[in-house]
Amino acid sequence: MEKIFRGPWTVPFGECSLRLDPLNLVFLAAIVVLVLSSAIYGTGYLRPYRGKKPLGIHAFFYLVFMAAEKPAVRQAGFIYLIASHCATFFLFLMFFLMAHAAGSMDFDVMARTDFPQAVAALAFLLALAGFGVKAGFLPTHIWLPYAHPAAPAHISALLSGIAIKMGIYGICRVLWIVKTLPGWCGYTLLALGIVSGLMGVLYALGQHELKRLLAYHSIENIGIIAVGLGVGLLGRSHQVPFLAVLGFGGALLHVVNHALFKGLLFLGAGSVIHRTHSGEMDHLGGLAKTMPWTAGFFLAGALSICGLPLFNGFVSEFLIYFGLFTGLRELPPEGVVACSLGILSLALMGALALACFSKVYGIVFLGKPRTDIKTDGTPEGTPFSMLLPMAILAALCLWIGLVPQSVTGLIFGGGTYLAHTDAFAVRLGTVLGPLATVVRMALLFLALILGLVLLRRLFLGTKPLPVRETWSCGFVAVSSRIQYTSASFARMIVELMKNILLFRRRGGQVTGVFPGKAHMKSSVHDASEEMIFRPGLALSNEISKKLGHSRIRYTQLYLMYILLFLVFLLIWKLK
Amino acid sequence: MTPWIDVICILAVFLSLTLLATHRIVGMIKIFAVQSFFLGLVPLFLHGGIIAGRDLAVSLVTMVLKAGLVPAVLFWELRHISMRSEVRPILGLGASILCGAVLIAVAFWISLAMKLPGKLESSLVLPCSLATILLGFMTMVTRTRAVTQVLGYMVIENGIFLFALSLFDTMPVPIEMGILLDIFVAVFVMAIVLNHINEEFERTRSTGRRPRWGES
Repeated sequence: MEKIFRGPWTVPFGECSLRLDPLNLVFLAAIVVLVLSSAIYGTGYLRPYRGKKPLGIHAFFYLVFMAAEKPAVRQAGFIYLIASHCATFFLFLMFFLMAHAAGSMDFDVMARTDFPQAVAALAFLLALAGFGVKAGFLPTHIWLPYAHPAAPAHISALLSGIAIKMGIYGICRVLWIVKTLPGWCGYTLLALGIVSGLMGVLYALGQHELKRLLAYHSIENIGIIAVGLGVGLLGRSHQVPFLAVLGFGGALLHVVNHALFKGLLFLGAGSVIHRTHSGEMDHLGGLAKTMPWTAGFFLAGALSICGLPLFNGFVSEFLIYFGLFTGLRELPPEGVVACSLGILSLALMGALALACFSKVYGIVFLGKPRTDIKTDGTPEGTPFSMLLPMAILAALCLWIGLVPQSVTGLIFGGGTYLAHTDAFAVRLGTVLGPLATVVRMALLFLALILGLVLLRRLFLGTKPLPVRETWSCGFVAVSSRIQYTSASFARMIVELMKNILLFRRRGGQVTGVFPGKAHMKSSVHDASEEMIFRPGLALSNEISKKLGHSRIRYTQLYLMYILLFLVFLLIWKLK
Repeated sequence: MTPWIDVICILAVFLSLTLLATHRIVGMIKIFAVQSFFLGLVPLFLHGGIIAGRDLAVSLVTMVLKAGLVPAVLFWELRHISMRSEVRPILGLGASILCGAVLIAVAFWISLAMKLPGKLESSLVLPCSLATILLGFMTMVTRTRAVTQVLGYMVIENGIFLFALSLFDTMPVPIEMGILLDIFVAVFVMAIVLNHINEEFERTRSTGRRPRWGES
């Protein structure tokens, strides 16, 4: 199942050889779909910018750095630059280490090499550090919530759907190359996935900006993927091929799924921003009435990302759950503990994601508009070229959710490839059977609800129904300001978790019977940013300042250092 | 004629040390001129007292350029930018001499370990040339005026000149002449630049500090 293309020319330090195998097939599938959709979407999204600047050879840079005059965007670019350089540093170390052990830079040669345990462990850790930064694992994810919202919507979709997956791809490739990983690697990956997933979704819950919230959800989904990879690795190191294939397969399917639904959500958010010129959830509201198509597609994406049946997110999470439950049966005690923790946290992630997207959908699309949204008066306001890609992605989400059998070949191909086994095909039915049952039951449930709705229609017949304001609740003077805000919706959960979330709240105390005007501001801060990176930055600033004091203010001191160095060199070389 | 070369070498180091301890710019230029004059004599004693045409040429050109023209240019500069003395030496007399003594010791110590391709006229040439280079460097370190930096630089060049003379047979005359010419042009350019700086800023201090009231 491998196709290798070897170029007739040699590039320095290697040769040009391209390879298509079951692993990169999965990633390529995700890339092709999402890039095509984003490209179509871009033609509509960027229409307002057309004609303002020439779109020539530098179009790409122009699009990516379109908003470079905003300081926040520049800062995002800067943070990403630093993060990606640090990551690359670790990757260099890792590849040199592996190439040194294998005697070649060729992945095929490396894959045939039996790495010593120490080298394998070190390569694994370096891969986690290097690709982990790119993928956005906690605590090195801090570039992600800055970088993703800064780009135009369809570029955000690509960044979230594809770019961070390249980190996952890198980790997968290393897992494939290094077969002799020590046992603790699987647990490490599992723990990293649990922490990233939980913290990602909790941070997402505390966000008030649409795209930033979606960016934090990417961290959550990367966490889910890491849990899957961890399960697969546990299966591989304990020689349970079924478990390995389930874990890796689930992770790979989630890669594809996340590309689809996160792309869809970012495109939906882009449509909202395109229409209203605001991504602040507390400025929006009631968009389902004015943008019905976008609302529908966004809902499809939200249901997918929450892992609800009938949509694709459910399928991949089901596979990972199935793997974890299999692990309970087949792994030694420490594996059982890890798997049960994985099940619990995966369930918690799902529930929190559901809460988060109830918040997003409720605040942005339901209720009444919170501010005067300037629209051009058209009913939908979103051009067809923007609706079409969303429709395609939503259809794909639904398709994978309804007919999961159609992707099993692709996914389990990748899974068996990563698991270095071929013993899976026999027991495929044990997974697909329950999956099909759940899908059928969900369909039944849906049919039940539809039936009830129809019944209601039938009984009410032609009786006129009074139409009321959404949040009126019997009040007379209804104001759009009495609606839930994004902060108040999430407040209960966020305050529950405030010990780990750095939840800050200022003001909001009202006293007396007729209180005057009061202001309240709440925000959730990133713990790893506030506790690790900012203090680190402050420390390095402090050190540089100290060095700056002893820094040479006279040219003469520079000269003196040169003189001392010269003397030192002479003495050193001539001794 | 090794004793004469030895004397000149010792003189060169002594004059460098004096230059390091001198704070008056006029005095420094004069010392530099004297040092250059004595160094200009070295080629005449090189080949056992037999003065060849090319030795004479090197000697003459060196003396004219370094003992004559360069000091003249520097004096011309001084007149134009009207300052006579070093305002604020970084190191005092005692400290300068102490540092200089340490550097001379270091130079002698280093030269013990140094191996040269050819045979030297005098065993003092190598340590003295190194000491002159280091002392010139030290002069640049301890002075804040641009002109004194130039002087330190010139002293370094004198040290290199002495070093080159010790390898005279292996060094073609045209190269030595070329270096001399380069140095002269460099000093000339520096003079012009200093003049321009002076016109622009009315000060030629190379430290970052602004002059206080009453300071030049």
